[in-house]
Amino acid sequence: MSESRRVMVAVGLVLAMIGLAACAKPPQAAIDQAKAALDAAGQAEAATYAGAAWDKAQQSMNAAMAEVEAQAQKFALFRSYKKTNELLATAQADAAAAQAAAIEGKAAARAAVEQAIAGLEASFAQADAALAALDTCRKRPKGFKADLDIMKGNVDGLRGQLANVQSTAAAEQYLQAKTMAEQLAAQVATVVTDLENARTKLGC
Amino acid sequence: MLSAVDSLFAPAAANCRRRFRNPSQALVMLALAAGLGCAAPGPDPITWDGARAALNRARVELRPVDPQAAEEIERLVAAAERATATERAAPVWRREPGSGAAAWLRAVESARRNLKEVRALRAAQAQRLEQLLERAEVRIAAAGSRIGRSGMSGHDAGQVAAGRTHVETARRLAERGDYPAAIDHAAEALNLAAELDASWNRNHVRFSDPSLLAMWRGQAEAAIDESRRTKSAAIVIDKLRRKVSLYKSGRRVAQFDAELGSNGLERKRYSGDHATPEGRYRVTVKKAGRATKYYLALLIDYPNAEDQRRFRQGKANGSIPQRAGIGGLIEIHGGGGSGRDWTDGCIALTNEDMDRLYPQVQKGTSVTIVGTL
Repeated sequence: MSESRRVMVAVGLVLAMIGLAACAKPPQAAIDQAKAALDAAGQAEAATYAGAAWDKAQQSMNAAMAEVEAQAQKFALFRSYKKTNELLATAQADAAAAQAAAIEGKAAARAAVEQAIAGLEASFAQADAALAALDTCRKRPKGFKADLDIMKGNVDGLRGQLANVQSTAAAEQYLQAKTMAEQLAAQVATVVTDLENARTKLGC
Repeated sequence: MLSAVDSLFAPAAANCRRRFRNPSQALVMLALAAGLGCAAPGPDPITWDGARAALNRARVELRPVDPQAAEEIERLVAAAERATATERAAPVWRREPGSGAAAWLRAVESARRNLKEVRALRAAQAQRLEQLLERAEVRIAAAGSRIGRSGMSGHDAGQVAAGRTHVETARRLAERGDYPAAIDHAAEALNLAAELDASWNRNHVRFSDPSLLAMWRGQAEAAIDESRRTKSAAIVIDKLRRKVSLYKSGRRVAQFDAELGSNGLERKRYSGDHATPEGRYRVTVKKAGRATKYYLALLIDYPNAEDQRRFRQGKANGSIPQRAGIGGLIEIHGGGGSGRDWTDGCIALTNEDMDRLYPQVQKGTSVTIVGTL
């Protein structure tokens, strides 16, 4: 092969490679999918209900987008999006995991609040039954009616707080609702114990 | 040449270090390196792991308090990661040394600023919460101590219970770092305390009414004067102070603690209102033994003519339920000593005090019940 022919082959090869390299574009579809998955996790309140998984998903996304950026800086011939695709797949999977964890976490928080509310309703029913029993009690020591009125007032006052817990839960503020429900449960338990003790003492 | 072309498929860094044997090979490599951009190695990699960890901690701390600040940190960290990658991968002539470091610095500065603001805000919120809780606790405790006394209804007791729940919930929320919600609960507790105080004050405002005070003092003085003139016994009851005073020949000879109706500070208007009457009465019956379930009792002549006039007036103007009766059986009796107002409208003394009072009183003895003196 002559010198000029070899030069032509080499130049041809270079041009072919340039042409090929021009086709090496960032995997936009994978980027979009990963971003959409991360957005979905955000919408699912992953930051609130699955903090660690949300952080991991963001870090994975950051690493993938950094790799996209790094490849974009390279000479077209040397760009490779293999690692980018892997990182994007990881980011998408991590985002999906964060979304799932958030949904699960939120459902668990909701279930915990619902359980606490059901427990409170049962406690109030118990308090009402104890009050009714006391109200029909034959043994009525001095000041009994005044005491009963105060005990009924206590139960009614606490029942008003149950409505607050329910409205907070309805606003999907489950963590706050849970704290409120736990505190209220402790108060109601004390009242129920007092009522039961009064029943026992009076033999009603 | 072919070997040079073959070598194009080798890693770029190796190409750049290769020694070229002939001009055409060198030409191709020069074209690649100069015209199209041979990737020279980037700057020495700097580990940003420390910054990453610190920013992650900042983000976690900011998230529950200021989600927008946390999101800003997230954006800045993402930008810093991209800037670092760009700086490392960019060809030498497009490289912007320090751009990665600058991006990390921006993120760290933002985190530092936001953390400072959030910590200051939280400190202010914690302080405000403590102030609210301190006031609410004192006022609710005061209201709680009044439960069982006249004027404190079951509704008031419920408000005290609700107030306590708000206070405890506020403390629990503060432990979780949710100061805004904690402040809401503390403020609600304080509102309830204010309502309780207002209710209490409404019940007590008439005791500072000058015309009522003058009337009550006049009634008490008339009773004492009668006791002096007739050299007889007279009983004067101060409802607000919950004191029963025994006079003989116009001179006070004894004073006892008393308990009233559960709504005893109100003036009795009809049957079942648990209020204690006010006015001038007489003892009509002295009860002992099986005649009373409260040890000893002195029945008075409630309702008197004035009570009956007001009752009719109340019915006429609708302030008294149409089916209500005027009531009766108002006594000074034993069984007291609990320290709270619990009767249906009677005045209760301890049995020991009834032992002292009972023998001094005859049928017809004057009993004057006033709001206060």
